Amino acid sequence: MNGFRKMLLWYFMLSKRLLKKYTFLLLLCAIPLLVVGMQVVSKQDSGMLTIVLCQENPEDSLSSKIVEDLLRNRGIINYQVIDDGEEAYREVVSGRADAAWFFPDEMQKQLDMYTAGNYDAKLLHIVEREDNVALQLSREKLYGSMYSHVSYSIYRNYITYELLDGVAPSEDILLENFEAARVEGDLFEFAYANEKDDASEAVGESYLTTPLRGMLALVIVLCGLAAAMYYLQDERNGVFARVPLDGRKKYFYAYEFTAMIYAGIAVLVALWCSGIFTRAVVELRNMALFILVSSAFCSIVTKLCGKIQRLGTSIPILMLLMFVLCPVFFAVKSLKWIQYLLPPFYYLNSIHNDFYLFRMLVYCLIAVIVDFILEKLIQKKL
Amino acid sequence: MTRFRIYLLAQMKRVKKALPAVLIMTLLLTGCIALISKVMLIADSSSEKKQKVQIGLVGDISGSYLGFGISALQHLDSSRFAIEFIEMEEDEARDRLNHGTLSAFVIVPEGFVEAAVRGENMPLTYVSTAGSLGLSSMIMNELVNTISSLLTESQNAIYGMQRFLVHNGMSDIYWQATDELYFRFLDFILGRTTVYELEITGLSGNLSMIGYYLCGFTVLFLLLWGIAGSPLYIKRDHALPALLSSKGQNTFSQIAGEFVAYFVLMATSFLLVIVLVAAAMGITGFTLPEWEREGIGILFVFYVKMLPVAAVICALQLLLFELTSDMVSGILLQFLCALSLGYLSGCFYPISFFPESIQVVQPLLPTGVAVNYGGNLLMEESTVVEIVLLLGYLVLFLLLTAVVRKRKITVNR
Repeated sequence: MNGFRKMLLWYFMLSKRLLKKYTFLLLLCAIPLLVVGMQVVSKQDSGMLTIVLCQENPEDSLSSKIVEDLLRNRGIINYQVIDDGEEAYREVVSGRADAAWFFPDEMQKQLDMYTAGNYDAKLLHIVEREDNVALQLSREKLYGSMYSHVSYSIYRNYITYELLDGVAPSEDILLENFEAARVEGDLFEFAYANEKDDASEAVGESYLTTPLRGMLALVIVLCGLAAAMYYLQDERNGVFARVPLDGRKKYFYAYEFTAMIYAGIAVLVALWCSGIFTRAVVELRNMALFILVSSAFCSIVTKLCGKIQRLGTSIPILMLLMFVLCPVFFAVKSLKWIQYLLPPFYYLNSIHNDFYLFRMLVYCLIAVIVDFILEKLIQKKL
Repeated sequence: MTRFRIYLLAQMKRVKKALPAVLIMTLLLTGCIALISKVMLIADSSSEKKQKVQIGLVGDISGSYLGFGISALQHLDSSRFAIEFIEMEEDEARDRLNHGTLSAFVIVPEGFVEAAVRGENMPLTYVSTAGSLGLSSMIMNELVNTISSLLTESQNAIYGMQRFLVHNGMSDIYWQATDELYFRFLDFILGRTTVYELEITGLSGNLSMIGYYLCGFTVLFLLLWGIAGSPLYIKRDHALPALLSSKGQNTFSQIAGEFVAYFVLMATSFLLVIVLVAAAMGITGFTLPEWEREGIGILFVFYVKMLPVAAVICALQLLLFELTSDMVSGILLQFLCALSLGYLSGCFYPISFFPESIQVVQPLLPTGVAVNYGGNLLMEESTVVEIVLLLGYLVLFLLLTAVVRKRKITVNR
């Protein structure tokens, strides 16, 4: 009990020490501000790809419908409509656009020829500087936009040539049958594994802000590592000279919690500002556990590094590893055994998956035990 | 001048002491960057070796058009290089999704096939995990929408044709025609790449994506590397600088001495990275499209030409060290600056991903200038404007550092 009170006292003293430095406060305030900045940026027109749409004849009915559909469902692509073919080509060659999609005049006629089996009648001309996965995916999206017209054309050709030996029924009859049999609704409905999550929330998400939670989680671990360096610096300066070696652990955790709790509050405010804050109970519970796990992680890293210089040099490595292997930008399926060692991996997954909350708890217990063993080993060595 | 030389020598000795630890850190940091590059390259590859997105299929689809369609997708379609469908039970699918070994799974409801035959649409449920999976899940959702559009529109046409047959007294060929039209659709979907004519112009004076990321990662490496300098350069009190100042060593001379020593430390680490990259390129034969006709030596030319960037980032980091006086704030400031400058300068996402307002600001940021300078070097274009801007930033950061130091010394007195 006495130890706990002492730890609390240290917590308040360290808080005073940290908070009286205006830079620390400013930095904490900067976290939500940066997030708001990112949020503002993500609301503006942007895309992972810039694609030029160029109609040979802007009055052409079919190509206009496809262009309108593409512009209405932009998704992660930024489209530019340019009527001049040469200019569209130049945009790609100069690197200002990733690709240009050229739509021919009388596209319906070309489409009908194509669906009648004349595959030499290319419907579109696509210009790219280099082919990559993103551009391959964009072409799938283009095909998806064209497909309702392709399917109708296949249907009409089949009835005309295969069923009626070239005697085309009236367009009204064809349309009537096609529309009467139309299947309503989407084939897929989206759901999340965690039933408490609302799949419709994902619609307004921007790829520019998806790494936000991951980046903020790294800020907390970083604060923990920085606090560990702070502790080592104080230890080197003799602040704990009168404290026996086996009694120093609580002071270390007091340093850790002081820095991480304030960072945690700033991160929660930032999450709330960004609109990705889920439910208060989930956020607070997971953040509390994450701080606990991260402090144990920092304690282990500190013991393994031993010296302040080594700990300082290990920070960029740890940060970079967390950037890549924790699901900050994208989920990496390989190198799982390294991912399991990093606290943000559990935190980021646990927000929408209670299974990882349980894993984070187990990780925490293991980390505390490992930390305890390391402590004993170091004391024995000394 | 003599005072400066003595101070510089003292700083160099300090740096020399820290050098082994910093070099070990650099080695590990390079390993991490190699890991990032590998992950990025795997994600961008379209070959069979690529890391596939695994999608679980829950429910009975055997003997149905859907089952046949999925089998065709897996064996004949170009998407087989990117997506793999695996049939499994729902419990297993949920378990694998929880463990992260599955990207998503699709639940085919009971009676789906019968409903499809009746011309009704029983929606398939696409189950994924929310939130933190970021970009990959957004791209998958776009793909699912496209697949949904392909399947629904094909259904519309087939059901329309069936209705036409029934209303025109051709019910005797109902199933034969359905099968024929179905296979025709499958043929068109699998052969969809024949719809367009693809023209690849080549890079022709433009930066390749790999080249772009080389510049972005170089700047990010230098930015993050600065955190390692924190124990050396964050000063809790300014008694020594104040003493030196009172003995006639002005603040700019102190800053210049520290800058040169810090720059030598960074340049040495950077050189180590270049040597490692050169060795890796030599072993694997991998090179940038921009360097296809060049030997390994071009990397060392690139290193020398990138030193002005290292100098500017050194000066920026010294300024950040000077602004704070405790470890927590110092490291936090370094990291937040690295993160925000790296993000806005296009080190994480290419700058073309950002809205126009950011694209206007990027070339003005010191790190933005650095990324663009690297890009121009790779494309062998003029770098005069960037060099002038980098020089301007270098002087500005050093002057600001000296001003902050002077103020702290004055307060200390």
